[in-house]
Amino acid sequence: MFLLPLMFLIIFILLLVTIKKKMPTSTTLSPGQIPTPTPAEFFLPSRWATDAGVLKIETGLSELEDKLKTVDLQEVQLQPPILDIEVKL
Amino acid sequence: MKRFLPYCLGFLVFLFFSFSVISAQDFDFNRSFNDYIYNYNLYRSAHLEYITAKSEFQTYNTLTSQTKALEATRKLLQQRDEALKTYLTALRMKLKEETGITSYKQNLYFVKLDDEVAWISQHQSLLTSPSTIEDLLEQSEKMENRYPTTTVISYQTLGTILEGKENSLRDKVNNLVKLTEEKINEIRANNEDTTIVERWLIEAKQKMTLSEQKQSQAIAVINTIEAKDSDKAEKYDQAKLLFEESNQYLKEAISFLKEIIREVKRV
Repeated sequence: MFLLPLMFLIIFILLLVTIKKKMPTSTTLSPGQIPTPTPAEFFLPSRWATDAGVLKIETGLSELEDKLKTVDLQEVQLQPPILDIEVKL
Repeated sequence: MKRFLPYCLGFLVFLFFSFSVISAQDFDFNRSFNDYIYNYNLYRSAHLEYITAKSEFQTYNTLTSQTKALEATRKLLQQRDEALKTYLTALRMKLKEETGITSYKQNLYFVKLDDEVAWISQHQSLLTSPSTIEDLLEQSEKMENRYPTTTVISYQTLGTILEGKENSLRDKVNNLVKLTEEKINEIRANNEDTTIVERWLIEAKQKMTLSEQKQSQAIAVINTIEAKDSDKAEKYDQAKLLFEESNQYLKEAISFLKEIIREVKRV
């Protein structure tokens, strides 16, 4: 007699548990978890930090680094064309 | 009136040469590459027409379908030659614009590419006269026999272009290594401790050596490509990979030099 309502109750509880699991978890941080920025690396500049030669090398390195990143060493568009060489009738 | 005649003639000659110079200046890699793409598309259209005509000829075997197939084949062979010729010209222009190649190597490949273009032009002229299907197929076979050599030259030229790019970049990195070394020497002359940065500089130089070694390996692979090889593209890909590894070492050398500069700038 009580078997059917009991089954309904169990199914209802299971559904509730599943829905709760699927619900998005909160994205807000708890008071203890406040993000902090990565501390910037500070250093005392040497007398060479403003030296014209050093700055010239530094600029040259940055420019060359960009060139090395963008250089095309594939040349895909210049691969030999695909041609039907064996023409037969 | 006769007094002005030489001046007029001189002016006309001047105009003629001016136009020639302007037209030569206009023809660069981009222009030649666009020519190649245009002709390659024409070749693809001709190839489609040839496939259709060939299929009709094989199905019906009538005189009409034979004539159509003959014309389609002739057009295909002419367009194939034109596509290949413009491709080699684009390759030549790319080689010409690349600065890091030795003039000896550049001239060597100019001669090879020019020979190929001359051969194709001559071959192309033989396709214009009225001929039978057998004649056309004979001409096609001549190209079939020549094509492996053309492909080898193409891959070797491409390898030389990549070598030029790497040389150009390596020269620039070497120049920065030299400047950094001079700066370190200057700092040491000021009685400052440069032990660490000197050690890092040695490591940067080692990367340069490794980069050169990888490039030499890439060139060696390119030089092994032969006309009879069926894996020309694979060998070229292998060489490209070695060029990239060479480039990676240059990047690492730059990264080391940046660290040296960072160290020099701090107390």
